[in-house]
Amino acid sequence: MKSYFLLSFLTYANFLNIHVCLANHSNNWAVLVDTSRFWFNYRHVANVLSIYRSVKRLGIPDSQIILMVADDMACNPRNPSPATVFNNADQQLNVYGDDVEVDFRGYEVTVENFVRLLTGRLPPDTPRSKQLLTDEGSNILIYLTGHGGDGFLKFQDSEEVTSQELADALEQMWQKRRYHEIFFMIDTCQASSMYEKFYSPNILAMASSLVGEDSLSHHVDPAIGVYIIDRYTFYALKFLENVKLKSRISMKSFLGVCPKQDCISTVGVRIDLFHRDLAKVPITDFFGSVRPVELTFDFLDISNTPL
Amino acid sequence: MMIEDKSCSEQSIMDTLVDDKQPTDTVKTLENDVSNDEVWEIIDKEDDEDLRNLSAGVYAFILLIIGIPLWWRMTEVQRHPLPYAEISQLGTVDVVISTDIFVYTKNPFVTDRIIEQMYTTFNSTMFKINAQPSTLINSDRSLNELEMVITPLGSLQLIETNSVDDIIVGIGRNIYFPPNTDIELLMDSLLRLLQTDALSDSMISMLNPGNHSDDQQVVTDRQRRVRPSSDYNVLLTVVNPEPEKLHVDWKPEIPLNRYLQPLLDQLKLISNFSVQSQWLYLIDLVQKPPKLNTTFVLDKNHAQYIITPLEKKLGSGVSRNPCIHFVVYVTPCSYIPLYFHENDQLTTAMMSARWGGVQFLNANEISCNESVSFIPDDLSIMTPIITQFHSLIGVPNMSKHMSLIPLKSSTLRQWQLDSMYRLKIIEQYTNTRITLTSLSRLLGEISNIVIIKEVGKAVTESVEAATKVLHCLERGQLEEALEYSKIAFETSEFAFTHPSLLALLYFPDDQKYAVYIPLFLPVMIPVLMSLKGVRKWIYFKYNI
Repeated sequence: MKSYFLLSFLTYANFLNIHVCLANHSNNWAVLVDTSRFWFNYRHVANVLSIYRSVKRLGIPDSQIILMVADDMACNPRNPSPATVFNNADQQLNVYGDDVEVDFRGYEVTVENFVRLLTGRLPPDTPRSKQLLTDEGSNILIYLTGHGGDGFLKFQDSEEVTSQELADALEQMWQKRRYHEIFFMIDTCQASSMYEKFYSPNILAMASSLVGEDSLSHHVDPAIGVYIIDRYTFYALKFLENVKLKSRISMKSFLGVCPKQDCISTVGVRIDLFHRDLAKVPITDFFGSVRPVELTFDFLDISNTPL
Repeated sequence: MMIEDKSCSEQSIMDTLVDDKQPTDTVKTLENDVSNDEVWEIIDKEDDEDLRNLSAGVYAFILLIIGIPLWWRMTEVQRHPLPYAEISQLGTVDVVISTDIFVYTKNPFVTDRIIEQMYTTFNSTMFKINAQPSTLINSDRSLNELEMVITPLGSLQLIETNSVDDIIVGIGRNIYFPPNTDIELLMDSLLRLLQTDALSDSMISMLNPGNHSDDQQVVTDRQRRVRPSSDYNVLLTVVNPEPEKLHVDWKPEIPLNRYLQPLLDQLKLISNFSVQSQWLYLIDLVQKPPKLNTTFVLDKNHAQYIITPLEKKLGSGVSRNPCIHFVVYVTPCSYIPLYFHENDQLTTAMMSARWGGVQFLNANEISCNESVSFIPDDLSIMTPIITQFHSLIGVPNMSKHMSLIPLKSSTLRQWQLDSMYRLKIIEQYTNTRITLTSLSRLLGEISNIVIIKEVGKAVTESVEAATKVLHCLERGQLEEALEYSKIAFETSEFAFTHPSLLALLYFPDDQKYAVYIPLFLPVMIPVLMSLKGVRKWIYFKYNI
């Protein structure tokens, strides 16, 4: 009897031919969020546009980038050079670029819209550009910037998302098979507190500062009169500018961006939820979009299809 | 008390008015008043204590007995009851697809052996085979005549005949094999035709992300299939990058109607496809193809970079449904002829998983040099499109493994359609199962998810439909099972993504206390403290 069970189990296992291995992703999405408004927060808009510029340059189409910007710095009356947002006082790099497609702007940037976007629980009349239509093959880059504290990130001046809410939203995404892998980046004070509560698999997280640390800005542009970019994003952008679509730079080297002498704060990294060897994960798995292709050689014969 | 005071003061005003005339009288009256007051005060004190304690008691009653339960009830997360037991049951029940297989051979012993072999082969798979001898009387007919033998939906018929030299699969649901065929081979073909591996792979990969079949081909096929949805858009885009140099005279509607529409009609039980076509001009390919001998070639490694820039211009983002793209790229005159290239093989078409296909349309030299319109051939454009469409929606391609009777049409063979049905049923059913079990698990994990009546009803409906899918599959009714799986899929999606689930997003549990405690505690303290007095009063009043 025992051997019979064993035998039937073997045939069963043999039939199913299962083994565990992580397959590749099939598409890339990015959710980029700036949560703070007002002119003195110019740097947060510059932060988010820096990442936007990079992912767009590396190939994620606008239809797969959800950009949430709480204020319009480019057209702010205080901006001495309208329609530009610079990451540098030398004004070398206009991160506003030629075409920016903002999906959620101004007061639309709320915790509710952000969580609804992630979990897919949107009113039925929501336009496609405001939806995260990901599936089990999607790699998602989530970038957040704004003012935060231990365990929360402030949205506008009125509300905040807590690390628990964020972790729950990601868990719901995982349960609904809404992602394959997530790279979570956050540039805010005490940033690492935001990813501490995560409990869903396949998430790689990186934060500009540890709990108890402030995340610092890079420099002031005297013409603009405010700090124009945060240190962590400044160095991340510097790194990303050197990435080409076909280059094989790994995520491991990206996680080393902005060492303490540059950032002043300590960059936090969480890798325990992520199951791939970081040295073998190309940075374009999250920042770029390369669709897998196959050439078609064998064609069907449809010559006799009736008229 | 108040009235008393008032009369007293009135009295005293009057007293002052008549002060000079009747001083003694005034004193007397005052003395009277004092004694009156004292009496009243004692009465008052008793009344007052009763009243005070009574009112404190009423306050306490309203607040503690009515108020708190009401508050608790009002701030409770609304959860319409869900059929948790049935949902968890879905996770334990195996999917069993009943399939009839009819066998005809000239020798009843051979028939029996085949049937016996079939039961051992299909033991422990998701198929429950009902193998039986066929009612067919005679197979000594031509293949064309045998093709007329109709086998019912979802089943297969194995027919031994001398008209074939090898196992060959018909257009209907018949499989022909010559006498003395190895039974193992026959079983292999059956396993392939019923797509046992693809079905189990599809189910396993959805249930446990990361797990999949060992057969790489099966995995690739699955990853290529568009994600499950009840509506799809098919968008044919013709890109002419140099309209000033080359005029292309082609109407996509006609070939789409001829080649694609019959196929979509066949698939109408599976999903709705809405077909659109558009022309785009002046779009560069971005990649510069190098020249190889007399042709321009785009290597596969470069070809993957042309889709993302193209996609930006396609405007497929208007609809929420998944879109299957087909791009016909008219090659610029300076790059004719242009091909994709891989391992020394050239082709005009390539495909990207879940997205669609791109093909180059090479115009002839004459149209480029002279101002003659280029009229492309419908068939040569539609052949790659139909081939890729088959792959993208998951039509099983068996031509590599066994010989098929040529159909020469864009439509599906009947057994292919059956396979599609099975695949869709499994996909939609598994999706429903995951969605429902996730939902019920999340309700346990995350306390502030709201389930309104509408969502609760959708979940119940979904569970019922999913259960019916299992019943129909067990009875071998594919069409009904497909219909129920569609209902189950749609209602479960509706329930999981309903906006009302997040109604309490701004109202987590900790805020419940943070908001109400500062509001209610100052009121509660005197009420609670007066309870002691009330208790004493009751004790005093009724125990003496």
